[in-house]
Amino acid sequence: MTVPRSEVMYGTLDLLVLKTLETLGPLHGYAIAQRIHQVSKESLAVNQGTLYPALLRLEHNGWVASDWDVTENNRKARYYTITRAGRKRLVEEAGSWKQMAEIIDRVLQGAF
Amino acid sequence: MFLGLRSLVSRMRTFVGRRRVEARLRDELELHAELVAADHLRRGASPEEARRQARLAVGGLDQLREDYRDALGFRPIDDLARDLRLAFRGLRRSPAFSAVAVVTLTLGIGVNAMVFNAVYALLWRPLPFPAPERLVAMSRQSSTGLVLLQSSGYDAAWLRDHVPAVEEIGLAANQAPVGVLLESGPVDLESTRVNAGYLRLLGLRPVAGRLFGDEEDRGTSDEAVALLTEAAWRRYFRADPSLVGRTVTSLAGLTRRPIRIVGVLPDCGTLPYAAGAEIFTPIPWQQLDVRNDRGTAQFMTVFRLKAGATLQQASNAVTAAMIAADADLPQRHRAGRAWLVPLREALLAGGRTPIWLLYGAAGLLLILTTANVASLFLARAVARQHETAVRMALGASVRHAVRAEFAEALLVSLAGLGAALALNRLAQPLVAEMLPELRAVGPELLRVGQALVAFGVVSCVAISGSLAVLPAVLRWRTPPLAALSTSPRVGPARTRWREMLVTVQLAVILVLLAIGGLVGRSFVEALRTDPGFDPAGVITFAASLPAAPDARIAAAYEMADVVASLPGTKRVGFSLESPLRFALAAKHSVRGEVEAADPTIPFRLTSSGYLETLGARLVRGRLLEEADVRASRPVTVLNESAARLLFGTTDPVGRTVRSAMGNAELTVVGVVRDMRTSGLDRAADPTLYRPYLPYFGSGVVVSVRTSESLDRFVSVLGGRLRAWNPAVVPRGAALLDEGMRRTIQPRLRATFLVGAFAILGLVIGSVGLYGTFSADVNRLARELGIRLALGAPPRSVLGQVLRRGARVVVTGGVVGLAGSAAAAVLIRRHLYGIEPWDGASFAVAVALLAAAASIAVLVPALRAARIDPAVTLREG
Repeated sequence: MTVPRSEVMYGTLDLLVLKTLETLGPLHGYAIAQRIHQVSKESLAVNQGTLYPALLRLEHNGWVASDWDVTENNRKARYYTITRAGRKRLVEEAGSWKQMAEIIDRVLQGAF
Repeated sequence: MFLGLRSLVSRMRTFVGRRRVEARLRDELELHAELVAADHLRRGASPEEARRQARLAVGGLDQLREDYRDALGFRPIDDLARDLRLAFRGLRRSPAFSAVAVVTLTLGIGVNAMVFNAVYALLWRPLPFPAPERLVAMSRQSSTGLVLLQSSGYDAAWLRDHVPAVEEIGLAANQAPVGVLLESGPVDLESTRVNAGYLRLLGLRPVAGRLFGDEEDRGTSDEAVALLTEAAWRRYFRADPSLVGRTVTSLAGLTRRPIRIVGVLPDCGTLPYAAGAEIFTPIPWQQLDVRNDRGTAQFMTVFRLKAGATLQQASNAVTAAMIAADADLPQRHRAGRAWLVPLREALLAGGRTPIWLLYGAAGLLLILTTANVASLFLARAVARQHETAVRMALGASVRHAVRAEFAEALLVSLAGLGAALALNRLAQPLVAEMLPELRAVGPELLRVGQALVAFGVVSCVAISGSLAVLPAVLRWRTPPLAALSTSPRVGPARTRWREMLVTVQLAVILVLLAIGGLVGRSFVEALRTDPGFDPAGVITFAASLPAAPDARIAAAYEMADVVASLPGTKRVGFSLESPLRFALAAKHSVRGEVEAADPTIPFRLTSSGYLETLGARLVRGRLLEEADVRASRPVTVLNESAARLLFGTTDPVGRTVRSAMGNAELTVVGVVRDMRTSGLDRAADPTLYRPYLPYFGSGVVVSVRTSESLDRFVSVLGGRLRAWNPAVVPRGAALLDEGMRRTIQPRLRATFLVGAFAILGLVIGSVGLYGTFSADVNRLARELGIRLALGAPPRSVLGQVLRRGARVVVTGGVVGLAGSAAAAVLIRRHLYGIEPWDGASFAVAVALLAAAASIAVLVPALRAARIDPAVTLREG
């Protein structure tokens, strides 16, 4: 059984997407990718191959909702919004990330 | 946990709307590409560069789809869908193979499905009434084993009062068709009499008007009422809603009587004991006369048990109740042990089609067609050996290959199943013809239902599974290196399997042929049986005598004289019942008082001349004379079985027999040969012939030995009888020997069906055999070419192929003979006039098989001998 390529990124990508949507409001997929690229000071280039499946998964789990809307150029696009459950998830995930970071930090400190 | 659940539901929804989701993905990616291109353009790239970047950005679509699919989930179903699609394409590329495989499986699965459907409809499918498992009927058995399904009004009332498990009592009785005068003229409507309980317990709701109620049960009303079926209402009265509540005119001879139609019954299926009935009249069973009538067991019964009562408990209660009911009767009048049977059993009683025999034959046909298709698949696998080996060398797993084969086999069998179900719809009326027992239970039960489809799908999956596994098993045994060579050589294992499949087919064909032969010969033997009288040239018809009981005998003889005066008439006689129908029965004793243990023997009330007309053969003494009948003398003529039963080997002429009916003491005046009136292939019942008595109703059946044809006779008869007495209308004229032939119709049907299966099997098997040997010859063409080129005489090459073929055929024949012997013993019960090891049937079967097999083997063999070595060597 082949391991999905983006497995490694799943946890972090979810977080980034949710945070982006929470901050900026409804966005379409390309915009989310661009934003993450910008905010991470160009160090994270999100592959659309990982982004769209991730968005679908987030929608499955009820953390984002999507709907069709029109872009500034009058082009039909699918816009994603964070849901209340998503916001809760964001808070939880962010919390556990911080915890994880602290633990790792402590381990690294203590190792020396 | 909730997350998992919601995720699962969402995934399933996505899976179902997958086309929409994939479209959505496509749209989003399109947009993404456009935006990427736009960005690059804005940053100053050239349009081609922009487009290239866009393409790069959305490249790897397939991988994306894989990821998407994983996110969407349900890998196994995806894989199966893909396998099926590939299989479809593969099958489309070899249309000949697919067509043959599908047609063969359609025949095998189709026939099986039809027979299964028929068996299911006949024996198991729930009747279309509420809680059908609680519907039962009462059965009684006399000490001689005579089984009666009828009851009297008294018995029914007793049960209602003494057995609480019986919730509702339904009674039904057949009667002669009711003549109704329509605007277009008189028509005869098939008619049944029922009580109110019958309609209630079947859960019927009137389409219009009302059903029978207490008033009809008590018989208090003066006017005659009736119910119509919806079909009759439509057919004869164009569904006129104002008909309900109106009267129609009924005709009985010349008398007209008004009948009020009080309601219309819904078309909800065949009603018990009332198949084909169009009009229903009430049974006033609560009327004192009917209720207290203990002697006339004339009603068929259907009871509804209370919810929660088991059949066994209720049956025991009924047995006890009936013993109590009969307690005050003299022994000779007690009817015998009573118990309950499921309604279906009562409806099917008397049916004689050997259903399980047919099902066995259909099953054999399925095995045959499966083996046939298996060899087709095997041959195909051999042809694709090289391709498969390459694929496996490149990394495909065995499971992969098996799945692909399974998909192909599944597709073929499902196609066969689909075609079979379609054919089933067309063949349904044929099935109803072949199984007349269905008429009693309801031919509408034959419709294609869930059970049938489920059965079909399960057998398809099972067959496909075995078809797929076979080549895989063989693949393990073939060294891969050998498989990779471009000129495929078939290993010994594979050859043995193919030979085994052919052997199986040959054996099955032989068994089918043998059984067909046995069944056919039974039919022929039955047809040739001496019935004990001369039915040829005898016509029977029924008529009602328009006279009071005292004058009936005289009137009957007058009518007989009228018939005797018709041209071509040689002899006339009359009786209470038709010679072929079940007669009345009562206990008889040779020793004075009739007791419970005395045998119940059927008796027929006949005129003088009746036995002569039928061509009965006198053995001792004399037959009934006109004076006996006119004076109602207490005399009787016995048939041989009755004489043996009552008197053993002593001469019964002059001795006396006491009959429980009327407690009459009868003097035996003669003995006749047994007459097989209940069926050519059934031994005659012991019977007493007594002078006709007028107390059983106004109807008589006249038997006429005439040289006229039926049509001519009927055309003259009506006029002559009307001239004598306009109220006398003859009904139901029929040839007696046709009636006799009808008694062995079940055998004819069985012969036809099993024979059809056998011929079908022979054709399929022969084609398969020919195909297998043809393929062999083709394969061996190269080797044979070399041998011929090297100087081997054509005869030896021919001999090699023939020897192979002969070995297979002989093995198949031997196995088949063994199987046939076993099958013959199994169907022993259905055989008539022959032993299970009937040489003639087996010989014919073997001969047929040998002929077909010889052709199938010889033609390729001859072709082999004519192979041009130069051609084959060049092709190699």
